[in-house]
Amino acid sequence: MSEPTISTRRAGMDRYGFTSPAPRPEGLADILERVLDKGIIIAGDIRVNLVDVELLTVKIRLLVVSVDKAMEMGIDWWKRDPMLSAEAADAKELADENRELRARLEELERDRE
Amino acid sequence: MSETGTYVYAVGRNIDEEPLTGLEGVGDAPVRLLGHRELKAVVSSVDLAEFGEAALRRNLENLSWVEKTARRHDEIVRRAAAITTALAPFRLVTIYKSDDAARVRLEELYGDLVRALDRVDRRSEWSVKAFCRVRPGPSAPSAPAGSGVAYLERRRAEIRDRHEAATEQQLLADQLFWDLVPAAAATRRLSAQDQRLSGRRETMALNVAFLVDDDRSTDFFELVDATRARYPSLDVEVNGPWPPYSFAVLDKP
Repeated sequence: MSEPTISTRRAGMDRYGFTSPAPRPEGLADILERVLDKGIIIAGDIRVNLVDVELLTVKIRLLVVSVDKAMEMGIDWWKRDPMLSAEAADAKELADENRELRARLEELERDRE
Repeated sequence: MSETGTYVYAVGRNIDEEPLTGLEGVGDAPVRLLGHRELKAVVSSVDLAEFGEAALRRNLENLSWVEKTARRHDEIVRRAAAITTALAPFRLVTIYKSDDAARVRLEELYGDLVRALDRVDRRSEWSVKAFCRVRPGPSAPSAPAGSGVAYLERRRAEIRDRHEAATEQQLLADQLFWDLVPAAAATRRLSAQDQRLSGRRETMALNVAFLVDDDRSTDFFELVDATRARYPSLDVEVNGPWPPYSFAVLDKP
């Protein structure tokens, strides 16, 4: 029942609990809740469509626990979802390109026959 | 780096550059300070090929990019918060065309920023979440199989019990919240996190951010400890101290 107390957690740490250059990994849920939904919200010169960000937040809220946790559970569908992953988008382009090349090769071979 | 912009992590007072030297921001460029009057903005340069409008639209849909960027942003904010008493974190991806453009914006918002900093000076944010402990439901007496009426009655009773239990837990969570309020300078109730996002099977009955005076944080923590003992049906989770993300807000115009 007893959680780590503030005194033990803070022993030897600075105000925000850093002892080393690598902070202890924290749940993605809490970090996203803080950095996407809160803080000073003012417009920058680079206009990010807030609707996009909110959509993304909704997507993340609905879909994923955290990347690590999801990977642990063997969930990595977003890697194959071109909407969510540049890797997947690249892979898809590559696959499309391959298909096109194969078709052209077949055509050429037919021509030679 | 081709065309660059200025990414702002936070604005604060009395920040020394020295403890921040060597830190790399989002996109791996060094973190530095931008002074304006007595305010200091914590910034780094970013490549617009990665952080420009078109690129951001794409990148924000890429979960691993978002995670990497969010973690780095949060880390820089925490490190800056650790070396000053008053820091107002900015939202993820607040970017200006140049240092000068960022300074112009700081001047426009100067009064608001100072007020926001005054509110959070010497205070930190603590998160308190309460989860409903899973109780073994009262097992309904098994009705003779095949009796449709009995089945329906049993189902109705189960649903009624579940609703009553949920309402009761919600009331308890509200009570717990009010028990903690006296120890905080300000509070902000947040919506419960989705079960898939919180990573817990139990329903989240309470999600609150408390703004607590730094010199009262031990009192706050002790109050939470004492209070949670009175609510055995709730699993209370405390996290903090965090930079005051939920409380560093600008007054609405």
